[in-house]
Amino acid sequence: MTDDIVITDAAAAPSAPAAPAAPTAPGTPRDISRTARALAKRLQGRSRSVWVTVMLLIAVAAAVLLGVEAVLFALGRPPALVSLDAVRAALTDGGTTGAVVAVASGLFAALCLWGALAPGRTHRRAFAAGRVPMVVDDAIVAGALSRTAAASAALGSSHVTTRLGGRRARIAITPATGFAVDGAAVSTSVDELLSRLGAAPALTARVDVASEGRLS
Amino acid sequence: MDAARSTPPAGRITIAARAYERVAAAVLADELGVPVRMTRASVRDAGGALAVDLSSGIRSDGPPVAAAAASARTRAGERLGALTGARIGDVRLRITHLVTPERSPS
Repeated sequence: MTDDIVITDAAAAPSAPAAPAAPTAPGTPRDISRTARALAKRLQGRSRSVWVTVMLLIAVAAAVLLGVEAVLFALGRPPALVSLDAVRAALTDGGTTGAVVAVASGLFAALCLWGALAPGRTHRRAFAAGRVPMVVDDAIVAGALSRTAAASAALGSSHVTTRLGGRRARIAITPATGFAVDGAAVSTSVDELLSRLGAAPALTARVDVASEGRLS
Repeated sequence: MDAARSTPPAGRITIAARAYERVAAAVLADELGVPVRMTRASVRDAGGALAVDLSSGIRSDGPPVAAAAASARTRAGERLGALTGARIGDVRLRITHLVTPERSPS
Protein backbone atom coordinates (compact mmCIF):
# COMPACT_ATOMS: atom_id res chain seq x y z
CA MET A 1 0.00 0.00 0.00
CA THR A 2 1.38 3.36 -0.92
CA ASP A 3 0.92 6.60 0.99
CA ASP A 4 1.06 8.97 -1.91
CA ILE A 5 -2.45 10.23 -1.23
CA VAL A 6 -3.48 10.58 2.41
CA ILE A 7 -7.04 11.64 3.17
CA THR A 8 -7.59 12.52 6.80
CA ASP A 9 -10.92 13.38 8.41
CA ALA A 10 -10.27 15.42 11.54
CA ALA A 11 -13.77 14.82 12.90
CA ALA A 12 -13.70 11.09 12.40
CA ALA A 13 -10.12 10.59 13.51
CA PRO A 14 -9.00 13.42 15.77
CA SER A 15 -5.89 11.59 16.84
CA ALA A 16 -4.62 11.20 13.31
CA PRO A 17 -1.60 13.33 12.58
CA ALA A 18 -2.29 16.31 10.39
CA ALA A 19 -1.03 16.00 6.86
CA PRO A 20 1.57 18.57 5.92
CA ALA A 21 0.23 21.36 3.73
CA ALA A 22 1.26 20.44 0.25
CA PRO A 23 1.97 23.25 -2.21
CA THR A 24 -1.03 24.07 -4.34
CA ALA A 25 -0.67 22.41 -7.69
CA PRO A 26 -1.32 24.38 -10.83
CA GLY A 27 -4.87 23.99 -11.98
CA THR A 28 -6.56 23.94 -8.60
CA PRO A 29 -9.48 26.38 -8.18
CA ARG A 30 -7.46 28.59 -5.83
CA ASP A 31 -4.67 28.89 -8.35
CA ILE A 32 -7.08 29.57 -11.19
CA SER A 33 -8.69 32.30 -9.15
CA ARG A 34 -5.36 33.95 -8.46
CA THR A 35 -4.39 33.75 -12.09
CA ALA A 36 -7.74 35.11 -13.18
CA ARG A 37 -7.43 37.98 -10.75
CA ALA A 38 -3.99 38.80 -12.09
CA LEU A 39 -5.25 38.64 -15.66
CA ALA A 40 -8.18 40.88 -14.80
CA LYS A 41 -5.87 43.40 -13.21
CA ARG A 42 -3.55 43.21 -16.18
CA LEU A 43 -6.44 43.96 -18.57
CA GLN A 44 -7.34 47.12 -16.68
CA GLY A 45 -3.98 48.82 -17.12
CA ARG A 46 -1.78 49.63 -20.07
CA SER A 47 1.40 47.60 -20.47
CA ARG A 48 4.58 49.37 -19.42
CA SER A 49 6.89 46.80 -20.97
CA VAL A 50 7.66 49.07 -23.94
CA TRP A 51 9.05 51.74 -21.62
CA VAL A 52 11.07 49.16 -19.69
CA THR A 53 12.43 47.65 -22.89
CA VAL A 54 13.49 50.98 -24.38
CA MET A 55 15.11 52.12 -21.17
CA LEU A 56 16.98 48.84 -20.68
CA LEU A 57 18.20 48.80 -24.29
CA ILE A 58 19.65 52.28 -23.99
CA ALA A 59 21.17 51.56 -20.59
CA VAL A 60 22.72 48.30 -21.78
CA ALA A 61 24.10 49.93 -24.95
CA ALA A 62 25.70 52.74 -22.94
CA ALA A 63 27.15 50.29 -20.41
CA VAL A 64 28.58 48.05 -23.13
CA LEU A 65 30.13 51.00 -24.95
CA LEU A 66 31.73 52.36 -21.78
CA GLY A 67 32.94 48.90 -20.79
CA VAL A 68 34.55 48.22 -24.15
CA GLU A 69 36.19 51.63 -24.21
CA ALA A 70 37.45 51.17 -20.65
CA VAL A 71 38.99 47.80 -21.52
CA LEU A 72 40.58 49.17 -24.65
CA PHE A 73 41.91 52.15 -22.67
CA ALA A 74 43.37 49.85 -20.04
CA LEU A 75 45.07 47.73 -22.70
CA GLY A 76 46.47 50.81 -24.39
CA ARG A 77 44.56 50.18 -27.59
CA PRO A 78 42.95 52.91 -29.69
CA PRO A 79 39.24 53.52 -28.89
CA ALA A 80 36.60 51.59 -30.83
CA LEU A 81 34.15 54.47 -31.19
CA VAL A 82 35.09 57.35 -28.93
CA SER A 83 37.68 57.65 -26.19
CA LEU A 84 36.66 58.07 -22.57
CA ASP A 85 38.63 61.31 -22.37
CA ALA A 86 36.65 62.71 -25.29
CA VAL A 87 33.37 61.71 -23.59
CA ARG A 88 34.42 63.28 -20.30
CA ALA A 89 35.59 66.45 -22.04
CA ALA A 90 32.34 66.76 -24.04
CA LEU A 91 30.18 66.38 -20.92
CA THR A 92 32.16 68.52 -18.48
CA ASP A 93 33.53 71.35 -20.58
CA GLY A 94 30.11 72.94 -21.10
CA GLY A 95 30.26 72.86 -24.88
CA THR A 96 27.43 72.43 -27.34
CA THR A 97 27.72 68.65 -27.34
CA GLY A 98 27.38 68.44 -23.59
CA ALA A 99 24.31 70.71 -23.61
CA VAL A 100 22.63 68.71 -26.36
CA VAL A 101 23.28 65.43 -24.55
CA ALA A 102 22.01 66.89 -21.27
CA VAL A 103 18.81 68.25 -22.81
CA ALA A 104 18.10 65.03 -24.73
CA SER A 105 18.73 62.94 -21.63
CA GLY A 106 16.45 65.16 -19.58
CA LEU A 107 13.64 64.92 -22.10
CA PHE A 108 14.01 61.18 -22.37
CA ALA A 109 14.04 60.84 -18.60
CA ALA A 110 10.87 62.93 -18.32
CA LEU A 111 9.23 60.78 -21.00
CA CYS A 112 10.19 57.59 -19.20
CA LEU A 113 8.94 59.03 -15.93
CA TRP A 114 5.59 59.84 -17.53
CA GLY A 115 5.37 56.35 -18.99
CA ALA A 116 6.08 54.80 -15.63
CA LEU A 117 3.88 56.98 -13.44
CA ALA A 118 0.89 57.77 -15.68
CA PRO A 119 -2.25 55.88 -14.64
CA GLY A 120 -2.36 53.91 -17.88
CA ARG A 121 -6.04 53.18 -17.58
CA THR A 122 -7.64 51.21 -20.39
CA HIS A 123 -11.18 52.31 -19.41
CA ARG A 124 -12.18 48.86 -18.32
CA ARG A 125 -13.36 47.58 -14.98
CA ALA A 126 -13.80 44.20 -13.33
CA PHE A 127 -17.07 42.67 -12.23
CA ALA A 128 -17.74 39.55 -10.22
CA ALA A 129 -19.15 36.82 -12.43
CA GLY A 130 -19.22 33.63 -10.42
CA ARG A 131 -15.77 32.11 -9.97
CA VAL A 132 -14.00 34.36 -12.43
CA PRO A 133 -13.71 38.13 -12.68
CA MET A 134 -15.16 39.68 -15.80
CA VAL A 135 -13.43 42.69 -17.34
CA VAL A 136 -15.79 44.97 -19.25
CA ASP A 137 -15.21 48.12 -21.28
CA ASP A 138 -16.56 51.29 -19.69
CA ALA A 139 -18.62 51.95 -22.83
CA ILE A 140 -20.53 48.72 -22.25
CA VAL A 141 -21.17 49.61 -18.61
CA ALA A 142 -22.28 53.11 -19.55
CA GLY A 143 -24.65 51.68 -22.15
CA ALA A 144 -26.18 49.30 -19.64
CA LEU A 145 -26.66 52.11 -17.14
CA SER A 146 -28.22 54.32 -19.81
CA ARG A 147 -30.64 51.60 -20.88
CA THR A 148 -31.68 50.89 -17.31
CA ALA A 149 -32.19 54.59 -16.57
CA ALA A 150 -34.10 55.12 -19.81
CA ALA A 151 -36.36 52.15 -19.15
CA SER A 152 -37.03 53.32 -15.60
CA ALA A 153 -37.84 56.84 -16.80
CA ALA A 154 -39.90 55.57 -19.78
CA LEU A 155 -37.67 57.49 -22.15
CA GLY A 156 -35.72 56.72 -25.26
CA SER A 157 -31.99 56.14 -25.00
CA SER A 158 -31.35 59.46 -26.74
CA HIS A 159 -32.60 61.23 -23.61
CA VAL A 160 -29.96 59.66 -21.38
CA THR A 161 -26.22 60.27 -21.24
CA THR A 162 -23.87 58.40 -18.93
CA ARG A 163 -20.31 59.35 -18.07
CA LEU A 164 -18.14 56.95 -16.13
CA GLY A 165 -15.33 57.99 -13.82
CA GLY A 166 -13.12 55.78 -11.72
CA ARG A 167 -15.66 55.15 -8.98
CA ARG A 168 -18.65 57.24 -10.01
CA ALA A 169 -21.14 57.16 -12.85
CA ARG A 170 -23.00 60.32 -13.71
CA ILE A 171 -26.29 59.79 -15.51
CA ALA A 172 -27.86 62.86 -17.10
CA ILE A 173 -31.51 62.59 -18.11
CA THR A 174 -33.37 65.03 -20.31
CA PRO A 175 -37.08 64.41 -19.76
CA ALA A 176 -39.66 64.46 -22.50
CA THR A 177 -41.52 67.76 -22.50
CA GLY A 178 -44.63 67.62 -20.37
CA PHE A 179 -43.73 64.45 -18.49
CA ALA A 180 -41.78 64.60 -15.24
CA VAL A 181 -39.10 62.03 -14.47
CA ASP A 182 -38.92 60.43 -11.04
CA GLY A 183 -35.21 60.80 -10.35
CA ALA A 184 -35.40 58.76 -7.15
CA ALA A 185 -36.95 55.79 -8.95
CA VAL A 186 -34.32 55.97 -11.67
CA SER A 187 -31.58 56.15 -9.07
CA THR A 188 -32.99 53.12 -7.29
CA SER A 189 -33.09 51.01 -10.43
CA VAL A 190 -29.58 52.04 -11.40
CA ASP A 191 -28.28 51.26 -7.91
CA GLU A 192 -29.91 47.84 -8.10
CA LEU A 193 -28.14 47.16 -11.37
CA LEU A 194 -24.79 48.27 -9.96
CA SER A 195 -25.15 46.15 -6.85
CA ARG A 196 -26.12 43.17 -9.02
CA LEU A 197 -23.07 43.67 -11.22
CA GLY A 198 -20.70 44.02 -8.27
CA ALA A 199 -18.06 46.26 -9.77
CA ALA A 200 -14.62 46.31 -8.19
CA PRO A 201 -13.85 48.98 -7.10
CA ALA A 202 -17.41 49.80 -6.14
CA LEU A 203 -19.22 52.08 -8.56
CA THR A 204 -21.79 54.60 -7.38
CA ALA A 205 -24.22 56.43 -9.63
CA ARG A 206 -25.52 59.96 -9.54
CA VAL A 207 -28.67 60.75 -11.50
CA ASP A 208 -29.21 64.31 -12.71
CA VAL A 209 -32.56 65.21 -14.25
CA ALA A 210 -32.46 68.32 -16.42
CA SER A 211 -34.97 71.04 -15.68
CA GLU A 212 -35.63 71.60 -19.37
CA GLY A 213 -37.31 68.88 -21.37
CA ARG A 214 -37.04 68.02 -25.03
CA LEU A 215 -39.73 67.67 -27.66
CA SER A 216 -39.54 64.81 -30.10
CA MET B 1 -51.18 34.29 -17.05
CA ASP B 2 -52.03 37.07 -14.61
CA ALA B 3 -48.42 38.12 -14.64
CA ALA B 4 -48.46 38.19 -18.42
CA ARG B 5 -51.54 40.38 -18.33
CA SER B 6 -50.08 42.82 -15.83
CA THR B 7 -46.66 43.13 -17.49
CA PRO B 8 -46.75 45.80 -20.19
CA PRO B 9 -45.10 44.91 -23.46
CA ALA B 10 -41.65 46.23 -24.18
CA GLY B 11 -41.39 49.58 -25.92
CA ARG B 12 -42.34 53.14 -25.22
CA ILE B 13 -44.65 55.90 -26.40
CA THR B 14 -43.33 59.05 -28.01
CA ILE B 15 -45.66 61.95 -28.73
CA ALA B 16 -44.35 64.10 -31.53
CA ALA B 17 -44.53 67.89 -31.35
CA ARG B 18 -46.69 67.85 -34.46
CA ALA B 19 -49.27 65.73 -32.65
CA TYR B 20 -49.46 68.21 -29.79
CA GLU B 21 -49.94 71.02 -32.28
CA ARG B 22 -52.72 69.27 -34.14
CA VAL B 23 -54.57 68.42 -30.94
CA ALA B 24 -54.17 71.95 -29.60
CA ALA B 25 -55.44 73.47 -32.84
CA ALA B 26 -58.46 71.15 -32.92
CA VAL B 27 -59.35 71.82 -29.28
CA LEU B 28 -59.07 75.57 -29.75
CA ALA B 29 -61.25 75.47 -32.84
CA ASP B 30 -63.84 73.52 -30.90
CA GLU B 31 -63.76 75.97 -28.00
CA LEU B 32 -64.06 79.02 -30.23
CA GLY B 33 -66.52 77.47 -32.65
CA VAL B 34 -64.43 78.21 -35.72
CA PRO B 35 -63.09 75.89 -38.41
CA VAL B 36 -59.82 74.10 -37.61
CA ARG B 37 -58.17 75.68 -40.65
CA MET B 38 -58.47 79.06 -38.93
CA THR B 39 -56.43 78.00 -35.93
CA ARG B 40 -52.68 77.61 -35.57
CA ALA B 41 -50.69 76.06 -32.75
CA SER B 42 -47.03 75.61 -31.96
CA VAL B 43 -45.51 73.99 -28.91
CA ARG B 44 -42.21 74.38 -27.08
CA ASP B 45 -40.57 73.36 -23.86
CA ALA B 46 -40.80 75.69 -20.88
CA GLY B 47 -39.01 74.30 -17.85
CA GLY B 48 -40.06 70.76 -18.64
CA ALA B 49 -43.70 71.69 -19.21
CA LEU B 50 -45.44 71.98 -22.54
CA ALA B 51 -45.93 75.60 -23.57
CA VAL B 52 -48.45 76.29 -26.32
CA ASP B 53 -48.69 79.30 -28.62
CA LEU B 54 -52.13 79.52 -30.22
CA SER B 55 -53.56 81.87 -32.81
CA SER B 56 -57.04 81.90 -34.25
CA GLY B 57 -59.90 83.94 -35.54
CA ILE B 58 -62.92 84.41 -33.27
CA ARG B 59 -66.61 84.62 -33.98
CA SER B 60 -68.07 88.09 -33.93
CA ASP B 61 -71.59 86.95 -33.06
CA GLY B 62 -70.67 85.32 -29.75
CA PRO B 63 -69.84 86.65 -26.31
CA PRO B 64 -67.39 89.53 -25.94
CA VAL B 65 -64.12 88.78 -27.64
CA ALA B 66 -61.91 89.17 -24.55
CA ALA B 67 -64.09 86.95 -22.37
CA ALA B 68 -64.52 84.33 -25.07
CA ALA B 69 -60.79 84.30 -25.78
CA ALA B 70 -59.88 84.00 -22.10
CA SER B 71 -62.30 81.14 -21.61
CA ALA B 72 -61.09 79.39 -24.76
CA ARG B 73 -57.45 79.74 -23.71
CA THR B 74 -58.10 78.22 -20.29
CA ARG B 75 -60.26 75.41 -21.61
CA ALA B 76 -57.88 74.61 -24.48
CA GLY B 77 -55.01 74.20 -22.04
CA GLU B 78 -57.06 71.98 -19.73
CA ARG B 79 -58.34 69.79 -22.54
CA LEU B 80 -54.93 69.51 -24.17
CA GLY B 81 -53.49 68.32 -20.87
CA ALA B 82 -56.34 65.87 -20.34
CA LEU B 83 -56.09 64.46 -23.85
CA THR B 84 -52.32 64.07 -24.03
CA GLY B 85 -51.42 63.58 -20.39
CA ALA B 86 -48.69 66.19 -20.67
CA ARG B 87 -48.10 68.85 -18.05
CA ILE B 88 -49.16 72.11 -19.65
CA GLY B 89 -47.24 75.23 -18.81
CA ASP B 90 -47.76 78.53 -20.54
CA VAL B 91 -50.68 78.91 -22.95
CA ARG B 92 -50.71 81.99 -25.15
CA LEU B 93 -53.61 82.83 -27.44
CA ARG B 94 -53.47 85.48 -30.11
CA ILE B 95 -56.70 86.49 -31.81
CA THR B 96 -55.86 87.38 -35.37
CA HIS B 97 -59.24 88.34 -36.86
CA LEU B 98 -62.98 88.26 -36.47
CA VAL B 99 -65.02 85.60 -38.18
CA THR B 100 -68.38 86.99 -39.33
CA PRO B 101 -71.36 84.64 -39.69
CA GLU B 102 -71.37 85.19 -43.45
CA ARG B 103 -67.75 84.06 -43.71
CA SER B 104 -68.20 81.14 -41.35
CA PRO B 105 -69.10 77.89 -43.12
CA SER B 106 -71.51 76.97 -40.34
